[in-house]
Amino acid sequence: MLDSNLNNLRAQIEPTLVALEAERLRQVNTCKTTAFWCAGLAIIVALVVGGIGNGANIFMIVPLIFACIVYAALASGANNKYSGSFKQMVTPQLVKNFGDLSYSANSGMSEAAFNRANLHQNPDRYKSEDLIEGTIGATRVQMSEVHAEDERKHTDSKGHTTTTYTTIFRGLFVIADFNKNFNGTTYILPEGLSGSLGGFGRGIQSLGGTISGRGALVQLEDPNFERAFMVYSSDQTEARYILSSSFMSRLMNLKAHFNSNVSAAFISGSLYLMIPKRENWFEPPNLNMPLTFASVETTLRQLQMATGIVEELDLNTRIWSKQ
Amino acid sequence: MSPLTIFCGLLVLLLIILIGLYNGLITRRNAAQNAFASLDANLQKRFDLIPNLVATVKGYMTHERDTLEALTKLREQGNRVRNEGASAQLIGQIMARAEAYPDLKASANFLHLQRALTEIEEQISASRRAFNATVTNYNNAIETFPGSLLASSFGFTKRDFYAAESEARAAPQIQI
Repeated sequence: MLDSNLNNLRAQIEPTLVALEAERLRQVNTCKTTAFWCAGLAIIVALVVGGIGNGANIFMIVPLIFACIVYAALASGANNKYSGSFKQMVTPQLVKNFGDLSYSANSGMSEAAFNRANLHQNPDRYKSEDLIEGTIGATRVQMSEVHAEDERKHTDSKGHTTTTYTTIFRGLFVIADFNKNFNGTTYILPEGLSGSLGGFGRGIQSLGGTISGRGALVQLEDPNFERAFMVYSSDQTEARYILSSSFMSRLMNLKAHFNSNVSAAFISGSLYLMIPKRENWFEPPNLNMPLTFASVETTLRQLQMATGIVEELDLNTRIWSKQ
Repeated sequence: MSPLTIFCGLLVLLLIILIGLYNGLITRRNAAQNAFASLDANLQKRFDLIPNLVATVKGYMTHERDTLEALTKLREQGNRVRNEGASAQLIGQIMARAEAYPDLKASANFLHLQRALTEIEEQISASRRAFNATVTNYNNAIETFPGSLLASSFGFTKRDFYAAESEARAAPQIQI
């Protein structure tokens, strides 16, 4: 972001930050008061319990544990309240600086869209939040943070069943209007181990494409791109039309930019992009940190990275028949 | 197991391998033909745009009559593949000279044509890449062992890549 834009943004959100700082201090005080009362009451009850039991005993620890639980619940409530206010008052203003965009903290990309992308298996548990949607230049975009998990049940020798969840995908999920017309489907996935197995590996990859319904393996001319990605498509020519040499290099840059195994699908005129990242996207600064313009830098950086995808992939160039 | 059974088993296995190899070569040859047909279809799309282009620009570009006539004649000759380079070059010339005609550049028809031509040029380029990829695949299969043994016996011959002619390398520069 340019310095002049940054200064404008600072001037624009400064009053909101001041108001929210007062709210943060109130929540911090609530936490401190809660801590004081919880600790005080726990000590008194523990002493009473010690007196009844004629000296120190193991039961004295019970009120302390109980006090910790009560404190954690109340502090978490205060943190959520602050976080909710930040997302309601600050994030929408930050988002508007990157395009004609709106922000909704409690909405997200739908599970149906995640499944339609066909870049991962369908999840058993799906969560998404922080939806940003609107247009950046000529490109319509939708994006949110997504956490998709697979359920696994284990039964031990005694017949007890435990359920665990493993992450299929966690990160940023983006759908953007693509700037070229196409009819088929094309998928770009990170290159796996099979890529190093030569012809045998290609055979495995081809089989994988058929089983997953992604289509035939497309072998492209760019060796760097081929080392980083495998491409499947229902139409060999169309895949090459989408993946021009400049677009391949842009995708490589995007992968480097996010330092992540980016995957993409081109379906019904749209680009579905999944960027795995463990970090928590678009979250407010810690409750204990004084709220200044500098403390929203992480959110700002994340927004810049996420909305920068449009420019990175040159999606606003509309020189083809699709406008 | 008798030696005769083993021999018969090996013979059947050899036959299966030969059939597999033969079918593989046929599949690759057909894929190359299919890719060529797709390239030809895109060249046809570009040819189909020529009358539209000529009709749109001839009212404005009065000094480019020779170029427009040459382009029309080229289309009438009909050989899309042989005339690919020449047609790309002539279209490129018209588009470049259109810069000098502000009224033409502002015309909605012309803008639409520019977009369509840019699109078709990229589609032709993609088709060419797809065709060359299938030819590489086919040529590798007939030139490497054991495909080479079968290829010579059954008349599979090496296919040429589709290279842009020298004049076509100067692709139409279309600016919007």
